Amino acid sequence: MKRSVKVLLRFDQSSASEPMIYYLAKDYDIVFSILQADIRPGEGGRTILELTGEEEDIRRGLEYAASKGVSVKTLTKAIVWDELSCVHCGTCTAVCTHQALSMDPETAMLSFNNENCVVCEMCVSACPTNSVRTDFA
Amino acid sequence: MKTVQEINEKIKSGTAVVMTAEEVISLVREQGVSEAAKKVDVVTTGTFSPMCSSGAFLNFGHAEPLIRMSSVSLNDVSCYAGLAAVDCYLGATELSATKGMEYGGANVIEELIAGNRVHLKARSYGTDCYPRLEIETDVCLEDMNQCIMFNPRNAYQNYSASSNTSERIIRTYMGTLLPRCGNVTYATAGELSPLLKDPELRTIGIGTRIFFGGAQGYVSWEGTQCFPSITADSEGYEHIGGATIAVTGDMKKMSTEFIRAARMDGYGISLFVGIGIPYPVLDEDMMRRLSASNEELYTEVYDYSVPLRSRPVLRERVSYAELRSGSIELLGKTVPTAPMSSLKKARDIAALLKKQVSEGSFLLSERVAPLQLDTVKKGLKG
Repeated sequence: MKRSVKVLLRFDQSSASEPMIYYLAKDYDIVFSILQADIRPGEGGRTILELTGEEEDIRRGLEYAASKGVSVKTLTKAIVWDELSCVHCGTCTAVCTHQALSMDPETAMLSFNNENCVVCEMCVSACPTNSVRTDFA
Repeated sequence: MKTVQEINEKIKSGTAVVMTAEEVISLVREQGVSEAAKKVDVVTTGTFSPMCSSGAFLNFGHAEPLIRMSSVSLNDVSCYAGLAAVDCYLGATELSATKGMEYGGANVIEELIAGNRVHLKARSYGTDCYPRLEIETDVCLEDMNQCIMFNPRNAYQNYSASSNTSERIIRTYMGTLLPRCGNVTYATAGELSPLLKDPELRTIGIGTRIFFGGAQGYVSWEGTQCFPSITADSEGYEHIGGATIAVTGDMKKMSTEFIRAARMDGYGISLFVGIGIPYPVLDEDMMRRLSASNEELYTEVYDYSVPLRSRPVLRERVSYAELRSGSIELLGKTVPTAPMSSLKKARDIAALLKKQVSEGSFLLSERVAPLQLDTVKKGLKG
């Protein structure tokens, strides 16, 4: 069964030099989109990927990444919206190009659809009341 | 024709018919302006937007021994202390000396209204009558004497929408604008927006009682950069211009439901201010203005990538109905739109004000004097 997951990969000095994503695509048939990346060869870093593929392929692919010294964390709920603190101004929707954050035309209230979220985190800095934050728990 | 006194008598006797601006639009569509003007006595409006030109005069009370504060900070946000001994003005956009753009005067205002204590540091050069040189303590609203919110420019009648034709993201007081006109932002409550409903400022003036941050406040003067205008564009559509009001209210009676700090990424700190104005339906012409809908209220779209007074207009006329639909046509493509002003809060304010007027706890006021209408916009040379 095909599924999509968002994962946070942390690379250390040595694993940062591995062509990890190439092998994930080639050997495990995983389609990926890079949502965020800050990796420096020789230094390490992190990337957030959305992986789409057969459930078994994703599992094996991530095992392979872990075997190469990459720390793997599956992100289930990366962006957290604090509805109580939100004033429903809509400023965040200006930067949410995937419409995860959107205004209900009837109620004029903000809603957050995690399914659409690619964790670009543009909303975190755009929100005037600090009601949207990133949660890596 | 009705007078404010007649309407107030009806409010006191519990017989006044009060509707929000949104409700009255539907009524006029069904029954016409003339019938609606007869039926309805008061129409309530509301807005909840970042309004930078905001702040508060605070009086801390005298310390023992006495100090004439010459420099004052609250939670490391500098206040203007060039006033009497223990008076200061806390401006909403002043940034923290330690946290920079993450925290500012508006956050201090929000904390005070929430009932929290904030850290006061004050210094003095010392005089015979005020010998003390410094004081450091925590203060809260309850402990202080007067805490008067005085906002020199609030409740913009109308404001242009913004987009960005450049190749890079720009972060502005109109929000984050994506490159190549990737979005359009706008900042009014449209058909609920208070000053858009009285474009000729027939009833608004000095002394007009308003809903201000959850309390009852007053219009104290015309706002800074108050340039009311009603002009026709090249196709004859009427555009209502930029009147503003200076407003005063008791911060101790305000609520964080209607006053909140706003951190505008890359720009700084501003203050979300909730304002509502109840309008007397004096005659049919007043009702015609009060029932103007988003389809009939327009603004322009400006290019914020040009930081000049003469920034280019990208679209001469766009209605608030289009802006609110979620996308507009701009330079030949469909561009998503986003509000900066909370329509939900604007509705909450208009509904609460309707309740207060209906119950008789909020009476309408007649202005003491009209606002100055013949102002000419001046620029700064240099």
